[in-house]
Amino acid sequence: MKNGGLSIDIDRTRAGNVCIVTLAGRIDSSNAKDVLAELTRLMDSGETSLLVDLGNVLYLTSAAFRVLLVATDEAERRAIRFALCSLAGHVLELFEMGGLVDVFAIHHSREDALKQLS
Amino acid sequence: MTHTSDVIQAVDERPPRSASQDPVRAGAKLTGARRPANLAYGLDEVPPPSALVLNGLQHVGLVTIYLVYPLLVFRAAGVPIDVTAGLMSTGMIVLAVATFLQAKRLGPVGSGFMCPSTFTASYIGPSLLAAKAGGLPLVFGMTIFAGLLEAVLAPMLNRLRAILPPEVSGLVIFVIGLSGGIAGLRTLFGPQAEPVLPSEWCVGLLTLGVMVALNVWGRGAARMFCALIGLVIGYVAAAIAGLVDASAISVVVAAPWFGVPKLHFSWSFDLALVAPFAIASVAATMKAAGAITVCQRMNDAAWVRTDMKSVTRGVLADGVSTALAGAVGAVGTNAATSSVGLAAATGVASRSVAYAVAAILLVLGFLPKLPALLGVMPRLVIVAALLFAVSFIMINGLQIMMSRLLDARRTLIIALSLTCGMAIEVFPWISTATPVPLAWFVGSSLVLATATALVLNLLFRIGVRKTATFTVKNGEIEPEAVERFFQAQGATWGARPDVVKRATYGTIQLIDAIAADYLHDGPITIEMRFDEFNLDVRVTYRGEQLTCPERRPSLAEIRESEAGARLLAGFILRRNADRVRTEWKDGRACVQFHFDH
Repeated sequence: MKNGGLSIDIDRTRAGNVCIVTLAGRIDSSNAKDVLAELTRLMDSGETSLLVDLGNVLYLTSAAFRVLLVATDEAERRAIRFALCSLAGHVLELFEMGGLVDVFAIHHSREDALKQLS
Repeated sequence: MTHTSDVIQAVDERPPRSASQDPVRAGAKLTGARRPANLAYGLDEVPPPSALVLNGLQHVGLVTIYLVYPLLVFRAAGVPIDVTAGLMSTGMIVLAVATFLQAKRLGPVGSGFMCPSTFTASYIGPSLLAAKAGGLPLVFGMTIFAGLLEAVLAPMLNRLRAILPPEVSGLVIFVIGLSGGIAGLRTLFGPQAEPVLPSEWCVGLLTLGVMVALNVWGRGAARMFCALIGLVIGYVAAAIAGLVDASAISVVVAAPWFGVPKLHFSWSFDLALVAPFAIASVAATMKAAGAITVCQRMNDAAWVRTDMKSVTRGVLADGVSTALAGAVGAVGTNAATSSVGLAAATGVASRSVAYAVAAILLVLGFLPKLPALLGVMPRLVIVAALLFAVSFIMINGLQIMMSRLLDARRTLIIALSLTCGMAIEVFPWISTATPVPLAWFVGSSLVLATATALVLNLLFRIGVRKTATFTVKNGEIEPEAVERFFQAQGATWGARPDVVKRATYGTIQLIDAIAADYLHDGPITIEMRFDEFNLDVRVTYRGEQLTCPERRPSLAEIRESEAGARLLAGFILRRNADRVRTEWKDGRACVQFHFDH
């Protein structure tokens, strides 16, 4: 869609050995590549545990699902722990509609995820 | 133009990795369903025998409260106590069969869910009319008619939506509760009723008081069984106050411990009662459909919207059960929403529990002492239980009515219909002064209120269809602008926000999927059409047609190419809308989404 990734914010924080990537806004074909680039950069920098927080995401299109699948596959190949958290409401419904809930490691909340990943 | 095959086998290359959700599947009957984590026992899981029996007894306790409905009808028909006891036994066996039919899935009948059956307030008003007009044969004959009608309506449920919008169905349910309560009070205060004794007043108030107190301030089991506890306390108080006469006690004493109930094969039919029974049947249909929908949601964490196949099967089972009830000598049955609520509260949704409920009811049907005890229940205890039960029905109706924004059309439908219905209760002589066949519609408050609402609803449909168009220029695609268009139109038309949200997402997902490679020159046109029951979105553009497969592409396909992601988009679009249609002609592609509203 609109170029330049204006409809998404990507934020990074750290909790112990887990790098948390917080996405906020709309993830579609215009900015999905930015998300993948950021996740790939973090993997290249030697991160061992990546947690993607989707709590502030309004919606994802199929382009975003593709990026998350590619990142999951890449993380598995490099033996990096990769998980998603805080899927709620419409976003969770979209994962369910796409038949993709069981495909990812999904945690209810950031706290739950950190307990598992730490 | 051809693209990838429409049907792509979805095969996961690796085992499920969800950390927080157990990927246990709910079995072949619920293909694709995901077992909710909060269920203690899912649909296909079998609890240990002790849990099975205890859960079965809980449901039977709930179901037996509603035995007051047939009791009231048999009293109105002047049936002797010993015959009433026999009919109550038959009723329990009918409920056993109905519960089994709903759970088992035989041919096209049965939803496969744990959704026990019970007697319903929907048939109280019409059955009392039939009992007065033609005794038990007319009650049973008309019950068969109502059951068959429900079975016929089952496959037509989707089309009924336009005729029965929430304001009409809510009104019908509200008036069923109100007229049921008034019918109960008429047995106490009607022209032919015996005066109510002071001791009866005390018993009635105590019964209702216990039910209300436990329901409002009680916790756990006390709250769950408030009606049953109230019935027992009221019954004991009535016995102490000397309101259970000796002849009634002798009937209970004389009843054997074991006996086969006599079935009642005697039916008649009266055209004048078609309207009230038909309306009650429609109300029972809606209640059964609602109960099955709740079962679907309870058993599937991935539930998105109602699966009409299992609803149709469930309503068919409900109709067959009611027809069977009339055939052997019982009043109309219906899916027990209170039991479904209990299953949700306890997290025990196992089909095996339904079989346990059916088995317990079957055994009770062959123990004549219990139905005899129910048969001699004092009238004030019955009416107290009835008033308690119909309170929840009335509020359920109100909630359904209020689920929509009440514009001028809906306000007038509800208010005028309710006033007409209540006029029959206040001025019952209206019906005697009205010529046949119009008298059929003014014979009861339920019929007149429903008929008025149906006519006004059809009349007010004139001029409700609205259309709006939005054009997206190629190269200037902004999802925020599309969102604003849908939100503004949805608010202007009073469309449900959740449906507008789905339509918005579907359109944005479509545009996102076609924007890169499938869109040629020219703008994208979005046409939104709304008529209260349908929201249709038509997106046209110059370019290639998007495929909407029925199965999800494999994970490898999605990962490896944009084409795979596009197929995923098509798959999501198909699941997001209630219907999707794609066309391609002369270089222009058209995608139409339909959403039930």
